[in-house]
Amino acid sequence: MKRFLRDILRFSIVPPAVILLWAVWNFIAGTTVSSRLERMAQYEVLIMGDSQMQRINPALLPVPAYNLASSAEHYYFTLQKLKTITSFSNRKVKTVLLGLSAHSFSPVYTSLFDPFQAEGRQSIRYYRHFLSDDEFLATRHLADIEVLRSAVFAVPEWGGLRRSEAASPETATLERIFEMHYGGTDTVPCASQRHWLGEIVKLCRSSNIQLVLVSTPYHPWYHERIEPRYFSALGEAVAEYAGNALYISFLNPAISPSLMSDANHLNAAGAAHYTRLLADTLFR
Amino acid sequence: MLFNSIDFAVFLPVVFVLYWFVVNRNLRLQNLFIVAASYVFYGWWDWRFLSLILFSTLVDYLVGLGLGNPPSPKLRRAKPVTLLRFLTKASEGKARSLLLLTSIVVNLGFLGAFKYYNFFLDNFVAAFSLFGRTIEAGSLKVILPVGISFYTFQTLSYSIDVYRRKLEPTTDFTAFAAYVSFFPQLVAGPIERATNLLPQFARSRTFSYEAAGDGMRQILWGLFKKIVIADNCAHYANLIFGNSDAYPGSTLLLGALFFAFQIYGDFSGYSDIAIGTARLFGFSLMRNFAFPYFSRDIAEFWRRWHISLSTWFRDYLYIPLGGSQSRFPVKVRNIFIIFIVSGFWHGANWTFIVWGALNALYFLPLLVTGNNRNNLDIVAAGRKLPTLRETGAMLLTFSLTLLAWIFFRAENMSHAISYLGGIFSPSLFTLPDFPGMRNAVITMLLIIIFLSIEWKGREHQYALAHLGLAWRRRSRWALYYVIIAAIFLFGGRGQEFIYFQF
Repeated sequence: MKRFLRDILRFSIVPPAVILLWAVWNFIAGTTVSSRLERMAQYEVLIMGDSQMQRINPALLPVPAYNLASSAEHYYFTLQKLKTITSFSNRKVKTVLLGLSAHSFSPVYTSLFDPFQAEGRQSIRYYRHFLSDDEFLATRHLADIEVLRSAVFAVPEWGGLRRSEAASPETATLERIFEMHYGGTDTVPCASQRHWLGEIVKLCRSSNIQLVLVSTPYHPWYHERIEPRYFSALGEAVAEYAGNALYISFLNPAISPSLMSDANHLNAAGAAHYTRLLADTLFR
Repeated sequence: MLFNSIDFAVFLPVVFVLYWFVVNRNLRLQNLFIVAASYVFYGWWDWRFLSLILFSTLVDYLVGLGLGNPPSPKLRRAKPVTLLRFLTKASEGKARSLLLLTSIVVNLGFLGAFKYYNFFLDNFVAAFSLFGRTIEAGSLKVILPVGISFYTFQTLSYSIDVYRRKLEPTTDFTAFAAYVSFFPQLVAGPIERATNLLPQFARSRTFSYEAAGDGMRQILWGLFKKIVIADNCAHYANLIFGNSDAYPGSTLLLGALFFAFQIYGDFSGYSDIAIGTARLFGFSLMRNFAFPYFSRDIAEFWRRWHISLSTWFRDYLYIPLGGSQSRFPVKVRNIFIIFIVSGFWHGANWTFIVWGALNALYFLPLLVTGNNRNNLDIVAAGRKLPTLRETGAMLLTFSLTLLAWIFFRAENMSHAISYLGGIFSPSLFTLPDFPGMRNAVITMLLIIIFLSIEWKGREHQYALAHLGLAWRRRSRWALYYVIIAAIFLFGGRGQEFIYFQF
C-alpha cells in the first residue's frame, strides 16, 4: 500500500508542476494585459467594437487615438476592457467611438456570448484575460472540458487596426458572411448585446467619457438582405441611449462596392474616406 | 454520480483511503462501508430510488434464505419453505418455485413499471385503434431509475442460482447488500453473477500493488475511451442523426460510423472504469468487452460485446429454453427469443426489438451451417497483422453491426428506415458534408490511433494492460501522461453514459 501511495504521489507531481507553470504564465499574461490597457488609457480617443471598427484608422483623427476594436467582440468584452481602462487614475480617455449596427444584434452574437458554443469558446480564448467578473465564465462552466480547455489556452486578442486592399467582393464571399451572421436556426435579435451596450453607456456616463456610437456602411448586397427586425433592434437601441450617447450612421444602401472589402468591412479606400468623414463630424 | 465527473474524482480517493485505512480491520465494517459508499454514489443522482434497490435487496435476500436447502440456520425456526408449503399446501418443489417467482415478479415488476409500462400501453392503444376502437388510457409519468436493468438482473441471477442449488444462500445481509449495490458496477454493469462476486465479499481483502496499478491503468484507458472517443463521436453522431434528412448518404454513413465508436467507447469505457475501480478495492469483476470490433463473424461479436449480458441471457434464458441441444426449429426460435429479448432489455422501443431481430438474422446462417463457433480464438494471435481473409471477415462483420446500430440509435422505426434509405441512395458516392467536418477529421484520426492501440493489445484483458509494462518506468509514465494530456486536449463535451438509460 505504501509503495502504491508513494508511486501515486510521484506520478502526481508532474500535473501540479504543469499547472504551476501555467499559473506563472497566466499571471504574466494578466499583468501584461493590465499594463497594456493602461498605456491605451493615455489616448484621448479609443476606437472600440468589432471588426467593422478595426477599419477606422486612428492616425487620420486629429487627436491622439488608438484602435482596440477586435473581431467578433461582444459588448460584454468591450465593457470588461473599458472597466479596466476607466479604473486607471491617470487615464486621459475623453471619447470612445463604439461600433453599433444592425449586425451587432445578429444571432451570431448570441453564440459569441454562450461558453457552450464554439463561438463562445472562441470568446473565452480571446477575452478571458480581460474578464473582471464571472458573468460570462462562471466557475461551474469550467466543469465542461471544452470550456476549460478554452480558458486554459486563452491568449489575449488585442485586435487593432486592420487594412484590406480588396474591393468589390464576389457574391460567394458576401453569401458566406451573411450565412455566418444570420444563417443559424436562431433568428431572434441578440438581447444580451442590448443589455451590455446599456452597461457601457452607464459606465461612460459615470466616467465622464463621451460615447459615440458609429454605424459603418454595409455592402449593398448584404444591406438589402438583412431582415428589418435587426434594423429595428438597432433603431430601438439608438433611441434608448440617445440621451447619453451620440450616434453617427454611415449606413447607405447605395454605397459603391468598390469601397468594401467584403460584406460588412470597408477596404483601405473606404476606411480612409469614412474616417475622414467621422473626424469632420466629430472634431471640426 | 458520473465516472467522468469532478464529484467522482473526489469521491473515489476519499472512499479508497477510508476503505483501506479506517475500516480495513473488520470485514463486516468494510462491507458496510461499501454499502454506504454505494448508496451515496447512487443517491447522488436521486436518493428516492435508493428505496427500490433496498427493497430488491431485501426481497432477494429473503428469497435466497427461503430457498436454502436445508434452510439457513438463521431461519431454521421460521423455515419459509415449510411455511409456504403449509399455507399453499404445495409440494416443496412448488414452494421453492413460488419463492423464485416472488423474486422474478418483484424484479421484473420494477422493470415493467418503470421501463415498459408506457410502451405496452401505447401499443395496446394503437392495436385497438387498428380495429376502430378508441380506448382511453393514462400513461405513467415516471423517470427511469438509473441502472435498474442492471441491478435487477444481478439480484435475479442470485435467486435463480440459489434456486438451482448452484449457490448457497448468504446469511450475511451486509455482504448481500454490498453485492447488489457495489458502486463500480451498480448503474451500468458488468452484470455480475453472485457466484463470482458474492464470495468476494465473504473473504477479507488484501491490498495488491499489481492489482491496484492495473486498476489505475484500466481506469485511465476507460476514461480515454469515454472522453476522447465516445464524447467526440457523440457530437457528430447526434448532429447527423438529428438532421438526417438534410445530409447525403455518405454523411449518414459517417454518422453511423461515429455512433458505432460512440457506443463502443462509451460502454466499454464505463466497463473499464468499473472493473479498474473494483480492482482498487480488491475485487475482480468479470470482463465485459473483448475487442468486439475485431470479430470475424457475428457469433464472435456477441461473444465479445457486453459479455455479462450475453452470458446472462445464455444461462438464464437460452439454456432453459433448450439452447442448442434441441431440434433445429426450436434452436432457431431460441436464437430469435434471446436476441429480441436482449434488444428489448435495452429499451422500450420497437427500434431495439428490430435491432435484436436483425442480429438474430445475422446469426442464423452461422447456426444453419454450424459455423457459429468457428472463431473462438483471438484474431491473428501472435501475428502483427491479420490475413486478407481475416481483414475481409472483420470488415464484413463490422459493416453488419454498423447497419444494425442505425436501428439502435434511431428515434423510431420510420427514422431508421429513412436513415437507411438515405445511405443506400446515389448520394452515398458524394463527399460527406456537415458543419464541423474539419474537426470531425481530427476525431477520425483519434479513432484510427485508438483502433491501433486496441489492435496491439487485443490479446490482453484490455488494450493498455500490457502496453509499456516492459519499458522503464519513466517511459511508461510518459505514456500515461500522454494519454492524460490527450484526454484534456482532445476530450469531447461531457455526455452521460448511454447505458445509464437502460
